[in-house]
This record gives sequence, C-alpha cells and structure tokens, in this order.
Amino acid sequence: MKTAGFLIFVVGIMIGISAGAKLSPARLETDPQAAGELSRWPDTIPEFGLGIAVAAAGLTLWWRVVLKDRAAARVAADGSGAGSELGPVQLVGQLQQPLKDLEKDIDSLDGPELCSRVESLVDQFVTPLAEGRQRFVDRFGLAGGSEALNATAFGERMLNRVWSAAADGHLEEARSSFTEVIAAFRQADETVNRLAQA
Amino acid sequence: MDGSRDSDHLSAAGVAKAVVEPYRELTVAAIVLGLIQGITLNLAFVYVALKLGMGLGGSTVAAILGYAFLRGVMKKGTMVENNINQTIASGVNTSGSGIVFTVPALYLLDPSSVQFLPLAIAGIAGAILGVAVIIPLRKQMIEMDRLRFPSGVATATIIQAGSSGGEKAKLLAVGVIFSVLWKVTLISGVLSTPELIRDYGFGLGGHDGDELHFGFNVLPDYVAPIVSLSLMNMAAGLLAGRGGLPFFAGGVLSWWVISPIAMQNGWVPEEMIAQAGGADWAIYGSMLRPLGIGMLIGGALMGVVMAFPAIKSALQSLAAAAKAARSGGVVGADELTLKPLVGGLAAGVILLFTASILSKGMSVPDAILSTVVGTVWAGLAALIVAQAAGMTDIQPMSGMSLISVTLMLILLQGNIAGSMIVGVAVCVAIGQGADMMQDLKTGFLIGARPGKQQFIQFCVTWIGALTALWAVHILWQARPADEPDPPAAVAAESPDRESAAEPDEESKPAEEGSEGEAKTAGTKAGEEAVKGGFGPGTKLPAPQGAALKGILESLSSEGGSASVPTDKYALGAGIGLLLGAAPMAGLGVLVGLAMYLPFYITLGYGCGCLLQMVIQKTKGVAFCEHKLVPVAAGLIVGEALTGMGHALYSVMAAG
Repeated sequence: MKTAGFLIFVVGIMIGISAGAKLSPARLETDPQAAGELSRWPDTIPEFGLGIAVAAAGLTLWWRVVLKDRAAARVAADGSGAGSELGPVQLVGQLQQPLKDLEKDIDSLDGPELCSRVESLVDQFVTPLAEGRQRFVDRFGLAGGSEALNATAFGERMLNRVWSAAADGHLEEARSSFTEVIAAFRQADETVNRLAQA
Repeated sequence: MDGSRDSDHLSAAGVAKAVVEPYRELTVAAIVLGLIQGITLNLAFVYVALKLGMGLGGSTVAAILGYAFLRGVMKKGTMVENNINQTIASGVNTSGSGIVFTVPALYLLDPSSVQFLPLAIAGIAGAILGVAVIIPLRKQMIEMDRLRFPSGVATATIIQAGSSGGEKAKLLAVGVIFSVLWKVTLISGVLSTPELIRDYGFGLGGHDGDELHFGFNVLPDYVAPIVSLSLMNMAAGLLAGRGGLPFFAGGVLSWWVISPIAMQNGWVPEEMIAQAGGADWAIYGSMLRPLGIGMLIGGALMGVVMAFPAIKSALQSLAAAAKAARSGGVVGADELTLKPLVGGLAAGVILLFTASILSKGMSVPDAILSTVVGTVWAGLAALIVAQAAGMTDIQPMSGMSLISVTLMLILLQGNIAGSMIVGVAVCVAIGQGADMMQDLKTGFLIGARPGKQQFIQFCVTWIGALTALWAVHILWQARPADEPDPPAAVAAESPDRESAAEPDEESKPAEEGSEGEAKTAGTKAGEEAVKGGFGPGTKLPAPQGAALKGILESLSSEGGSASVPTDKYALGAGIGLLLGAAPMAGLGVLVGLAMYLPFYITLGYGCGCLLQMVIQKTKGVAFCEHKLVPVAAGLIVGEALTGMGHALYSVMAAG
C-alpha cells in the first residue's frame, strides 16, 4: 500500500510537471505588446489540475500508511529496531554505563587514549542514535522527539569537543567538556523515560 | 579518526602546557587572521567575478592557512580557534558575493543612479538579516534533519586532519592530490575532443573540459546526454549518499521524461530553439528552470509548515538558553540567546528601511512595503538556499536573486534603484544564510560553541559587503585613461553559456544560472557604450552584472513584465507544496533544485550518490564514515583550490 501510494503520487507529480511545463500563449508571442493581450497561463491547466489531484490522492494514501507504521512503533515499549539492531531509546539507556566508565578513567588517559575511547562511543552508540533519530519522533511525536533529540545532539557535539580538545593536547578542556556530555545524555535518558511513561 | 596512531605528536611538554592554558577558541589571533583572509579573498572575489563571472570560496583555504599560521607559526592554535578563523573569513568573503552580482548592473544601467550610502546600508542590513534569520534553524537543519553540508564536512575534515595527523590526513591528502591532478588535466584541455563530439557525439568538452558527451549522435540533445566529470560534484554526491537520490531523480524526470514530452508534443518553437542555441537550452531556460524555481519556493514553504513544531521547539530552547545557563543547565546553554537574535533582526529591518527610504523615488509607503516584503523574502530565500546547500552543496543564488529583483520591481512599479536596494540586501542575506549553516555544521563536527560562531559572524560579516561595494566603485572609477570609448553599436560581447555560468564557489559545482538571460543581456548590453571601468567591451566584462542589467531593462520596458514566467513560478510552487508535504524531508527543494540546474551537474552528482550506496552496502557504514568521507572532502578541497588558482592565473594572464 505504501508503494502504491508512492507510485500514484509520483505519477501525479509527473503529470503535473509535464502539464505545467507547456509555454503560455503570451510567452510564445514574439511581439511584447501583443503578448500583453494573451493568456499568461498554458492551456494545459486542466491536465495540471488532474496531476495535482492524483498526486494528492497518492500522498494521502502514502501518509496513511506512514502514520499507521508510526503508531505501531509507539506501541512497542522500547521502539527497538529490527533484528539485532538496538533502537534509539535503548541506545540512550545503554550509553549511560560506558559514559560512567569513561568518567572514572578519564583522569588517567592521555590524549590519544581519550580520542580512541571517544571514537568507540561514537561508533557504537552516537552514530546509530543519530541514524535512528526518526524513531524518536515516531515513538514520541515531533515535539517530544525534538526534546529528546536536542539533548542527544548536544551530547554528541560535546563528545566531538572532547575529541578535539584531546587531539589538541588540552586535556583539562576535554575533561571539562566531558562533564557536559554526561549531563546531556543523562538528560536525554530522563526525557526518554518521562515521555515513555506519559 | 584513528587517535591511537596519533600519540607521536603529543609530548610531555605539550600535555603540561595543556593543563594551564585555557582552550583557545574566540581569540584575537583568530579574529585578525580571519579578517585579513576574508578581506583579501573578498577583494580577489570581486575582481575575478567582474572578469570571469565566477567566484572564489573561502572556508577551505582559510582553514588550511589557519592551521599553518595558528599551529605552525604561533604554535598554539586549536581546532575550535581555527574554526572561528574560517567562520570569519568565509563570512566576510561571502557577503561580497551578494554585492558583486547585483551592484554592477546598476552602474551599467545608469551610473548616476548609483547611491553609495543606501547600497552600503542595504549591504549591512542583508549581512545582519542573513545571520539573524538562519540561526534559529540551526537545530532543525543540522541536528534534526542532519543535512550533510558537504562543504562544512570538508572544512571540518581539514581542521581535524591538521591537528590529529594520522590516517584521516593521509586520506584527505590523497583526495586533494588526485583531484588537483584531475582538474589540471581537464583544464589543460589535453583530454578535450571537440572533433569527436562533433563527428561521433562522444568526447570531452565544455569550458573546463569536464563535460563528457555520450549522445553518440543517437540520443537527441534535449535529453542532455552529458555528464560532469567534476570530482567536486561527484564528491558532494558521495557525501550525500542515499539522501541525494531525490535530487538525481528530479534531474532524470526533467530531462528524460518532461523534455522528450515537450519536444514530441511540439511545445518548443523552432525560433526559440534557434535563439537559445539548442533545444536543450530552450527547454531549460523557458520551462524547467522557472518551474524549478517555483518548486524550490513551494517546497521550502511547505517544509517550514511541516517542521513548524520542531522549529517552535528550537525557538523555545533558544529562549530558554539563557535561563538554562543561569540555573546550571548545560543543554543549549552555549547558544546565542533569543535577545541578540531579535535585536539583530530589528537592526536589520531598520537598516533595510533606512536604505529604502534613502533611495531615489521611494516614498514612505514604498519603503515600508519593500522592507516588509524584502525581510520576509530574505528569510525564505535564505532558508531555501541553506537547505539546498545542506542537501546537495549547491546554492541556487542566481534564481533567488532574480526572483528578489523581479518581485521588488513589480511591487515598486518599475523603480529600479529602489528594487536593487532590496535586491542587494536579499542577495547578501542569502549568501550569509548558507555560509553560516556550513560553518555551523563544521562547528558541530569539531565541538565548537555555536554561540561564539554566531556572535562573531554578527559582528564582522558586514565588513565584506562594504569592502565589495567599495571595490566595485573603485573599479568603475578606475577606467584607464588610454582606454578608448567603445563604439556605440559595438558587436555584443555576448557571454556564452559558460562564461555566464554561476560562480564556481569552492564546494559547489558551477551553477549554470542565467544563460538565457545572459545571452539576451549580452546582446543588449553591447549595444550601448560603457563609460566605466567594467562592462562589456572592457577588460572586466562583468557578465553577471550585464545579465542582470538585461533582465532589468527587459522587465521595465513596455510589456516587459509579460516575459516574467509567473505561470511557471506559480505552477512550480503548487507542485513544490505537494512535494514538500511528502513524508520524505526536503523533497520539494531537492526536485526543484534538480530542475533548476543543468542535467550534467545532476547526473554527475547522482553517480556519486549511487557509488556511495554501493560502497556502503559492500563495506559498511564505518568504512564510509572513516575512509570515504576524508577522501571525498579531499576531492572537494582539491578542485576548489585548483579552480581558485586557475581563476587567479587567468586574471593575471589576461592583464
């Protein structure tokens, strides 16, 4: 059904664009003064209207299926993904322990070691989180999902800052920024739990 | 990023130093270096744009020089400090582009109508407005939608490679070297085969020798059987991956479906084909491009509506940022708060009004109308261009600028001076918006504080507009005494499609913006004697200015408004609204952009997208992030640097 809706939408768009592309009588007229008295719209407006109507119908069908899928995602308790892939909600929860572990170790790490640990966190948790962000929105709606994503995005940016500071040899800044990482992902976790219970 | 291989560069002294010194970010060194680079690039940009009709980028050059100076010479630069340097340099450079592609048209039309003060105020207004309107969209574009901003990624890769060394730097260097060698080979013309193209319909041609023709004299020209071999273009597709497919699909739809339909139904008169120099250009100029502009507008408008809850949330978080910082919260505490944004917006509006009221023939109601419409349009156009840049690294500035001037000319009933004031402000704002977003993307990737980038951009970016305005004025005044007056009815230096091409900014392919208009304008411009330091018939032909001059003359002539394809804009907007409402973010902008651009650019980009998808499927996401991204960034940087070098060489060689 999703594919059908998409295809009907595409066909409608193609009809609309094709009809809209035709030049108007005014545009075809070479004499500017004469052109002013001719219609400035192509004579394919009915076909354009048909295309828009078909595209609108396809769009409605497409959205219906998408909204149904999103509602099903909300029903799932943790918004987990297919197969062995962790959903973003799970990922936020599972990220807390590695962050605590790094917090314990951070004072004893040098620049390259800290960079390596950050890269590992990014590859394992942050990048998959970012790629699955639509599932936050599917699960919690646009407003709620945005709230959770704000916090995770801030945490990600601060993790990037930790990496940059460590690579630059500024370990004090790296450690200081890391406290912001922890606070941000903790806030994300709390937000996700609060929204899940609502 | 392979930090485990970078231990060699960190010494005990370096670590000890790090403990006591604060982490340098917004520093005097970064600001001064950024300003010097920005002003230098800006002046070079003005000259090159008047000479060749193309521009020069700034971010990647500034990032490289920033690393060399801040780390190499001063021995203490940091990545975030270099980011501030390149933010300033690119901001100051870019704000000149809005000036150099609009103001020369005024000089060419009627030098006595040029009023420096209103233009200067308009330029400053545009610089401030462009930053103010785009900042609230940072979260939506960069953090929610995760728009790629290939230029921003490339700049971040340079900044990180400079500090981290190791594998990423090597991959970046490989990309740069390969891209430079390839670009030089293409520019040299050694691979160009115009005879093969003529005889067999296959071979390399085009202005930069990067257009591969594959029609084989079998495929008609109206299906545009040409692909760009620009590695920068392909690299933008590599970085976009699957997300760029709608852009590619839009191009396929335009040229392999719509164009044949138009030809088969006889919708394109022979005279039009002859005038445009081919069926493909006739269809492109009169059908696809204006439809594409309409779709861009409709798609962007609907995109704002669809994303309104998220944008509202972003604005609320901005409003809460100051409160969050005071109460010890961290999320959002390093953003610019709503107060300076509102202040900046108000200042921009007041300045735009001032500029409008000071220009000739403008009444108070006219000034109010142009200020309100200009501000709203500047916001929408900046959003469109920033979104397009984020998704494809291509900025449809000429189309948006054209709409700006046309819209104001209609609203102000043919008052060219007044229309151009708003046109200048909008053009500067558009450039600033896209540039700010690219820089904020870079900042996100390296962990910069966005508030600092935004603050400094507000503070200094207007310098570029004034610099460019002054440079244009000086160049107009500096007509050599021994240069004879060109004859009154000189044969038109009709810019061909290549030289009228849009500025080849550092990380976007040449955007063929106004070929149809350029051909017409070139003919008309050449018919009148040019008495200043630039224009057709002089050493600085100002092709973009000449094109705009032609459009303005055409629009303000009797019946001229009939030539404005308002039907295409409106019908395109209708389609764009539908596309923007699809459950696929940015569809309206992507498809509209594909129709707006020549197909050889879209096709090359699409090849990059497909290649990335194949690589990701076979090698995985991590490989793409750690290996492919730095190589792609290198390809972008290499071609940008070579293009810049070639432009400067061309200018110097021509004298």
